[in-house]
Amino acid sequence: MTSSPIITNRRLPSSPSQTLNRQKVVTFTFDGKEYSAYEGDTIASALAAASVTTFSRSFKYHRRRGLLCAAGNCPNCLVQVADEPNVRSCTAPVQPGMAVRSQNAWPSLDTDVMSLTQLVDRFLPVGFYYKAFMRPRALWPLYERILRRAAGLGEVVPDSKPGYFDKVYKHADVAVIGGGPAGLKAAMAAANASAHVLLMDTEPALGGHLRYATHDIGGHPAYEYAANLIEQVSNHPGIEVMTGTTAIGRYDHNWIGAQTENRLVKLRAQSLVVSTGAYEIPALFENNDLPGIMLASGVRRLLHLWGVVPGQRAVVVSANPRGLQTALDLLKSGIQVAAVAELRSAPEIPLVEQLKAAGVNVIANASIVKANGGGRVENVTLKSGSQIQEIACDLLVLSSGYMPASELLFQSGAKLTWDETLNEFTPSSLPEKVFAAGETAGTHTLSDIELEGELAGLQAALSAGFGDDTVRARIGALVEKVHEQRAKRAPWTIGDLPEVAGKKDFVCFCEDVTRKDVKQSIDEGYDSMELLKRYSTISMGPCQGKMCNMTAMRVCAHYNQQTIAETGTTTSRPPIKTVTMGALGGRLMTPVRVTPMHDWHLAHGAKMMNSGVWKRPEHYGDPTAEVRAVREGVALIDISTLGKLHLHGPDAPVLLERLYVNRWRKLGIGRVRYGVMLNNEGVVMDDGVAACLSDDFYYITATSSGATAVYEWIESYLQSGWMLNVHLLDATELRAAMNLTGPFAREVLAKVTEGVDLSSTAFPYMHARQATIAGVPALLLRVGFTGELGYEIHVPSGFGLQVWEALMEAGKAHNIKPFGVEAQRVLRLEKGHIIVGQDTDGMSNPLEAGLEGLVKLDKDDFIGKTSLVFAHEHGIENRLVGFEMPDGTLPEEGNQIVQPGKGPIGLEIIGRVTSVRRSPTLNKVIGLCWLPDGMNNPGQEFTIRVRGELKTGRVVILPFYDPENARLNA
Amino acid sequence: MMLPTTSQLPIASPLANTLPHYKDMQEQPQTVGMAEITNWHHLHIRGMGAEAVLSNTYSMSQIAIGAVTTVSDGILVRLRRDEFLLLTSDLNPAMKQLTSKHGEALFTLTDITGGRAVICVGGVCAPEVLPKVCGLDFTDSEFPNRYAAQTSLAKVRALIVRLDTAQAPAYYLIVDRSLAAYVWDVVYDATQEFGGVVLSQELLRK
Repeated sequence: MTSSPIITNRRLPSSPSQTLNRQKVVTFTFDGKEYSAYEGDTIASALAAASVTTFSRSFKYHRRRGLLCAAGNCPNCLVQVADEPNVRSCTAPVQPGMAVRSQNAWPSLDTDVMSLTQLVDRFLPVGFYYKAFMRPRALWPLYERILRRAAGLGEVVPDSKPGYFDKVYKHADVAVIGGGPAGLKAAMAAANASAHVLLMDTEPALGGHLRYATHDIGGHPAYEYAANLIEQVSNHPGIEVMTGTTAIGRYDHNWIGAQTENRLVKLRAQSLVVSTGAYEIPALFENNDLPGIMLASGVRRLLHLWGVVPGQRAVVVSANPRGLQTALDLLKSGIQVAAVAELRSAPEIPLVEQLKAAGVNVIANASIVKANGGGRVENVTLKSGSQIQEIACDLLVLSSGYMPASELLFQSGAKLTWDETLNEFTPSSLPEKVFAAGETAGTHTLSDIELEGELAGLQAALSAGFGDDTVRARIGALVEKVHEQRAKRAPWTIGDLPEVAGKKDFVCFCEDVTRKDVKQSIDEGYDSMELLKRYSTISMGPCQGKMCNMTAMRVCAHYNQQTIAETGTTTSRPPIKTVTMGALGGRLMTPVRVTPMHDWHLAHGAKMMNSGVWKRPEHYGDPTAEVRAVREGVALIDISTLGKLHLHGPDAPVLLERLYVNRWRKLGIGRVRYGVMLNNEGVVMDDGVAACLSDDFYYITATSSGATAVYEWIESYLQSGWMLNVHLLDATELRAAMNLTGPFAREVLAKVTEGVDLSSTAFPYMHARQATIAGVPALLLRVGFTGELGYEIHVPSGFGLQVWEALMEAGKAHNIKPFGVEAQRVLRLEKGHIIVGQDTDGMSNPLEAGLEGLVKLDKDDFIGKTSLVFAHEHGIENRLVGFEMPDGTLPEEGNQIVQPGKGPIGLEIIGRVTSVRRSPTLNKVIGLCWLPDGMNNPGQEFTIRVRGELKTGRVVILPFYDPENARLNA
Repeated sequence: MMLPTTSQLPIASPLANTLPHYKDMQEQPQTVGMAEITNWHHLHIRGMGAEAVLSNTYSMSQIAIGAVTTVSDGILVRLRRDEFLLLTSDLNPAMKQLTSKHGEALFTLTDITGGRAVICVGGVCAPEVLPKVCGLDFTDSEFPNRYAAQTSLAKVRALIVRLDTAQAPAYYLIVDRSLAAYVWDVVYDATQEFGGVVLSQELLRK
């Protein structure tokens, strides 16, 4: 690599409008070559200062592309910066050591083999990819590989290190998007009316187009005038300024999404002022994409922000005063202006006189026909009347039209109407609390822009609840004044379309769509803007229509022989500007719940699993050994994730009767009962136990996954008209819970427990007791999911670990083991217990799910009863049954149960396996499955499709283990 | 048979295993600091007559939903029409007082200390930290001192109570105990652009 000094002959002397710190020089590389830049340069300004003219290759034809807008709107300067693709080099600041690469060129930017596609362009018309590559179908993978390589943007580096992204919420009474003169005035007006204002601008500094304008305003250059406004705004305590922040979308109720560096901003504003200005757009003519052709605003930015000379000899195409002002700027910067092609018949006389006085050839009523050149523009062909002339130049400046940056207004629901007088779309109606000001609203002269800005700011403040009679009076006066001024607005002419299409006159620079392509699309029937967009991909590239939408509409209108108003525009959807995926993703904020014993599990080798948002031990290395420990000794499982609810109040039994399918009124104090809840459709929703601890206090458990839903569901009933005298409290977090289970559970528990008789007569199955365990007050529920003698121990969460460790210590003599979810699944399956949500689904009612013994249809009422009665009367269609596999095959959960029938492979699905395991206790494969009613008789054989093979299962009576419940009741 | 309270037991830190992973406790936060608060018992008070009971007990006037007021037993937060939270260093006297004052209407007192974690975020930059994890407006006018809100914070349910120190704003994030480590990590990360530090609880008490 060689070091290049800053090319001083491309740099202008310092000026106050420039953003450069010339004392600090940094270096970076572009395609491996080292370049220098000043602090404050963008990548593009530094490269332009070093005489780089080609920045990228185009999408389809791989044509050279140079700087066009220099404002982050067009696709021409996209580069790859390290592992980040599609960086707009004209807005990305140079960083020391930055490695910048060109995109979409091979083998190099200067010599791109794929540019040969231009030679065969007749075979690559618009939409060719829809028609070609269809056959032979088998070759599509090859086509795809070639197409992806040939067309495309930057490179995604799969192993790149993730960046740090986050988000921030913002709130404002009035949000002003766009910090140009309209936005500055709006912000000041709203803040002076006492509203809290957030002013957001995508540029690194406020001021809008005035930052790089030098024309005289009240005896000062425009940028100095802007600096004064900016100072007032920046010092206003009621205004928060966010520069370098790009609004990417407007959503309901003035919710604005924006990105600032690596941060997503979520802004909620009472009122919104959109003052986002307008996009300058290129003209349509042959070779309108050659490097060296720039928009006038881009030229002014290069000259005045970065002091870069964009060319030596310029031709300016002008359709508005800014074109003429740009020509004057070029002259002041020492650049020769070979000609000004004025598209209008009556340009501003003082500006024309100044140009003529400087010896510039101003051609009136001109049009541009063609640009010529190889690596960059070398001359242009102009037409005026019948006269055609070629003028040599290395810079062609286009000031040929604007399109309002009205995306946020579109997204707000504003109606935008084509104004034939102004030659622009302007907002004809705005929704409540949304206001537009400045060039977005079709106003281009500074004094009018400022008037509209102030009006919009005051109106926004008033609609947000700020402002008094003085404000109202001022609004009234401004409305009148703005109305007067708008009546005087003159068109900012957009040049007429050339009479005939050129060979390469690009409507859409992003997707290389020419005027001829648009015509062909229309000829093929895609004649509305929305269809044209989808077929030709116009406006679907990186610029998202900013450069091409207006021209596309004009061309579409032309070939359809319609007005632009009749043609209409396309819909603008978020994001309206590039937003990085990282910013949308933000920080990894995935809630994780851990039990009080979590660290103990980790320290003891637990393999953790996700159970909803909870972390639970799946096993501690050997789930089979854990099952054996429960069956033959004693083991402990952490069940803190269980849902736990407190029901307080005299109507608690009434509530339980309505919630569960079984009876509750006669549940005595100290008793526990299992219950099943249904939803309104009679479908099993959750299950658990409830313990009656006093006449008016019940302690309920719910499944881990259903806990929150059950709480919210019960609470919604309590608050929506049942008028029961009950308080419900979600106590899931209050108590850690563990299940001590196995034949030796009682002995182990007795070692650390005080205040309760644990004998089976004093504390039988399905009873609750309170005791002190290891010094901690505990609620004991004698219930069992495992099929063995077991105690659920519920203690205050803060002391869960203390009790857990005490039990593990007490169980050492019996070789106690911790067990995880996997062992629990096996144990409960052996006992034939269902898991709601796994063995049941959104169609399962309790009559089918083997819970019919629990259902009391003769109860007054319970949730889901009506649906269940209906199901009962119309018969049971399917049943959940136990099965075993005689040949020992282990099916997978979800495997289909089939029989010969009309299916695609001659099989009809009649059921499915919901749970299956190889039981270490019974030494056979057991499971639960759904079968049609009538196939549920013990011994009935059926066919399961296991990994493509048909295997036989056999129905058995549940439970598989300890059908007499002798072990439970021990 | 009612479930006993844990008032006789020390409050166990939900973050006992998380905090040692962070750098040493700091003496003074320059911008923003975080601490775990373990000296508050949480008494949940519910009932349509709760307001009357509380007024009677603490001789206080009506407080609005979201308001935070100091009473003789601690700090009282009104969560909704019939729901209050008392943060107190001594649970028993408060429960005794309130139990003795309630009348016929259903009135429930629940010690929910064990189910909650309290994380304090304090310092001049604290109002800038919280908008990175919570959608509320933390400006003084919208979320003043002695105000509380039940909201979503870092995608989980939280109660945020603002109780400023003499020097700076301070927010107490009350979350489910099981989420304490997650919330601590997320909020601590959010403080880092402001130079956030971990504070000792002792320092905070001073």
